[in-house]
Amino acid sequence: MTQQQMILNVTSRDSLRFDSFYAANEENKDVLELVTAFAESYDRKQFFLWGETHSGKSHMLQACCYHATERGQRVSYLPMKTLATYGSTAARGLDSMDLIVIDDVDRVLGNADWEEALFDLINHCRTGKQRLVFSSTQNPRYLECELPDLASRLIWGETYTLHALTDDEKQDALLHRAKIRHLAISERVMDYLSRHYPRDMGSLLTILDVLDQESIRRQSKITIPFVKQVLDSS
Amino acid sequence: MLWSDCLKLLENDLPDQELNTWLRTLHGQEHDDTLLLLAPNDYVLKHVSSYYLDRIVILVRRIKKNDSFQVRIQIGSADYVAPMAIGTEQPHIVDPAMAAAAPFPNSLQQPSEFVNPNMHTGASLSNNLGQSQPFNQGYQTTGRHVNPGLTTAENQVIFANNLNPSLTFDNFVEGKSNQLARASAIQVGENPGTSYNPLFIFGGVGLGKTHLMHAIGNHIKAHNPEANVVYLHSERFVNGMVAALRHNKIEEFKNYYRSVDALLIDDIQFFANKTRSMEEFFHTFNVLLECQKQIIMTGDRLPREVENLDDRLQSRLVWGLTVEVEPPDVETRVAILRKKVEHMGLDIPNEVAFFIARRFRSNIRDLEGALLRVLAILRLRNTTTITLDFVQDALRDQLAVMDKMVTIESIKKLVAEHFNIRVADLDSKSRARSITRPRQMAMALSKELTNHSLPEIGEKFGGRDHTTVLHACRKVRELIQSDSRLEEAHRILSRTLRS
Repeated sequence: MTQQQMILNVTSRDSLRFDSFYAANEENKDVLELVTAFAESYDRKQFFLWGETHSGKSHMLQACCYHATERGQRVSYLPMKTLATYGSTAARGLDSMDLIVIDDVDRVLGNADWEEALFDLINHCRTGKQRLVFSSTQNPRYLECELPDLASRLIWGETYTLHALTDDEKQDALLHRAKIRHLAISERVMDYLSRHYPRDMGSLLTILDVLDQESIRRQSKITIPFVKQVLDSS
Repeated sequence: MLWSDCLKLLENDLPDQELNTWLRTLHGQEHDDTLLLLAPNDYVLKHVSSYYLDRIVILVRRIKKNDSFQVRIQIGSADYVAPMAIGTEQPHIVDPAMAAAAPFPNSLQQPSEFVNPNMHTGASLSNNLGQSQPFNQGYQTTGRHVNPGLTTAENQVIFANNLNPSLTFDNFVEGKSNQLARASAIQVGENPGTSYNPLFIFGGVGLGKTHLMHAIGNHIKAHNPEANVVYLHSERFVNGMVAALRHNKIEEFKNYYRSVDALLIDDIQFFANKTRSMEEFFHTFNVLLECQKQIIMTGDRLPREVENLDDRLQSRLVWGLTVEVEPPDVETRVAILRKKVEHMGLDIPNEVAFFIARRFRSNIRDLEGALLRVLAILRLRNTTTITLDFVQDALRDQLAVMDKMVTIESIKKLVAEHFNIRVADLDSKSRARSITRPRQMAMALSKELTNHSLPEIGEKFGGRDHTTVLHACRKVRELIQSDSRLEEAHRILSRTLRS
């Protein structure tokens, strides 16, 4: 199974919450606590989370949204990977939101319309009581902003790094997610997965989703032959 | 709450990303036998109508145990109407997408738009959408001049001046870099409309221009609570004007801004190239000045240096007083840190304040960002003692990144190598083309890749003036459009430095 093949229409059974986030090391544990504290506060205005692809930024941001919603706040999540091509009007009308979460902000930097829209949004949030969360794969100091006014505003709040997991930590993370779903995966199966399939966290989580759904559908335990049968035929 | 219950059910079916992008952003209101969903913009409205509305209708009818229960969706937000809903029986719906681009800064009295979702869902009428417009209260005029019947509380909301009350002269830290600007601002705050009109404050990003502007506005309001002081960003003025034109409200727009006592416009460089807005602002400007109303503006450079700004406007902007805010020196940065920490009831030792101030020096936002991180980690560790070790550990990531950042020195070295000249040539007085081009390139790259201000860059290139740096940046920008060799040099140097 290639990475390309793994883009399947499957939905995770576990939700993206703070308690389902596996913070493998001390640095990431701190970030998890800091993001949770931000989500619980009302006065902290802005937060920037950066880290490599598949380091768990989107998970944290979704958890932030859920947390705020549970507290009765109105939330808007803007995934720039998707929205970049739609134009900056997608960022309009958010004045009444309590929390605005902008994932992968680096995707729209360099685009004058988007940069002005984000600049305007930050100014508005600073004047009002709205709070902002950003994420990117690059350190905000290195972002290629055309607008210096926006660049300086992106580093206005707290900035934290989410560190990518090592291979061992990825296995632990996968076991953690499997445990939440009450899904039994042995270490042998895990070893097999890590040796035969892409090892980035995104692919591993997709594999978990596929195995999870197929094991429910076929009422079967997850064994190496089962894995081969499911993944190599998909 | 019907909509909350419906969202809970949708949580079982949909991934978090879809819920957070499209559905949690909606505001639901239940009226008799209808659930009204208010979407922040047309984009969300179309997407929800196309992909989720049928499912929502099924769930809502199941919850209500009523097969004829209706669901409507339109652009709007109830949040804007709370004050105006006083005494009204039906909800008042306002278009926040337009409010974002509101012709009037208070964003309250915009015409609502009932959007017929049939336009987006084709012929599917099974969910009884878009029939009548029972919730649309229509347009209400703005301002105390046309709403004499409003209560004081309503007037306060309607005349929202957008001033941030926390930005005052008391918490503005004075230093050499902003002394003149602060003194002029106090003068204007004490005597609006008479001394220094217009007042134009310029300087780099994050140096306190906006703080000074709000401080003037708050000072005027403190001495005269009835004064109609309006602060807005130039971008909002432009968006507001576009919205006013679209909704045939340009006369109200003009009247609104021409009737204020003090108009505070931030970052006027964003007027560049927006001809119609510039024209309107020009006329507003003239009317206010004639009536001795105060105008305060900020910009990132001198008016004459703002490209594509109307010549007449450029000349008018310097009629009053133009003052510069420069990057704060280390002592001022320390004082700013101390002020912010004291405000939180904490204490910061001198050596720690100096450490942060020396490392985070590009602008005040940078400094504030570092301090906020320190304070957040302080809370996380459940301590109130700020030591140097603690701060170095808390900022470890950021300091490591900054240590790897591009410096003017590294730029000069690489540019000199590329063009086969000496680094000293870049600082020299030579005006030979073989030296000026690399020098201009190095200056432009310093502007692009570092956080140094223009005067700082000029200083590092043999003590040149900031206007020389500005000229160099423009020249390089022009040349990379017309000279392929220079374009290639710029691309290679930029890529090498970034990597």
